[in-house]
Amino acid sequence: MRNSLLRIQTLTSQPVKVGDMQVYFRSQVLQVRLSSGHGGLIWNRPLSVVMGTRGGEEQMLSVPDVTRTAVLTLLVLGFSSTFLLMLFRRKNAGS
Amino acid sequence: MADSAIQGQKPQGNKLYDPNLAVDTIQTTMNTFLSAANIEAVYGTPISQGENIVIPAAEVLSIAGFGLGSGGGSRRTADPENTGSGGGGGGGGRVLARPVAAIVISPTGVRIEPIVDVTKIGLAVLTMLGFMVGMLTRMNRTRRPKLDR
Repeated sequence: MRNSLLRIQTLTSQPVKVGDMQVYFRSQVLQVRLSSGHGGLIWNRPLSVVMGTRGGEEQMLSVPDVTRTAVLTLLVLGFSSTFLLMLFRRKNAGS
Repeated sequence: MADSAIQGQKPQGNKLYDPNLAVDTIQTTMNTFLSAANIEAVYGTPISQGENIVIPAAEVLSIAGFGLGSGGGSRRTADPENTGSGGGGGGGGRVLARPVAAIVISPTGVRIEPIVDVTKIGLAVLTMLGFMVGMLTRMNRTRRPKLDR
């Protein structure tokens, strides 16, 4: 990873016309690329949906990743509760 | 051909051993592979369902890697058997995609319906429970000798 190149960027799609609205889609890209050109990684995830009306108002809706949030919450809760339990037991054993 | 290799010149007739050609091919493949993960890869083709339009959204992860190597025989001797050269390479890659949400565009507005991967969450729960049970068992095992004393 000595010559790696890290880049994070937000991409916006072409607008989709629905009635009076114009809808844009945004995604976030994490790009890790070796400068030697022998490998790389791209992580592309949906970010938000932007709705624009003729009046110029814009409304943004973020795209939630429920599965990732649930898995990360489980991991954090599991590790932290185990760590707290270890501390509690060690404290009780010492006293 | 052996003489030209001894003198340090590249063989002109056989392009199979040209390392630059292999690097160019891999570079082109790599660029094509990595450019595939653009915004069209995340948001799918709109599907019309009555008055509604449904657009699937997915997370895309693409990984690729290549390696090259080449070498030749010793050039210190004029023996043709020691002046061969060769090269090789290999590579691999994978594209992973996971559905995240479905975007529903209706005349009344835009709605985002999250897609929940129950299997993935269930596996995470089982993994976490296994880790916790393992850690608690280990803690109990290490505590017993101290209590016996």
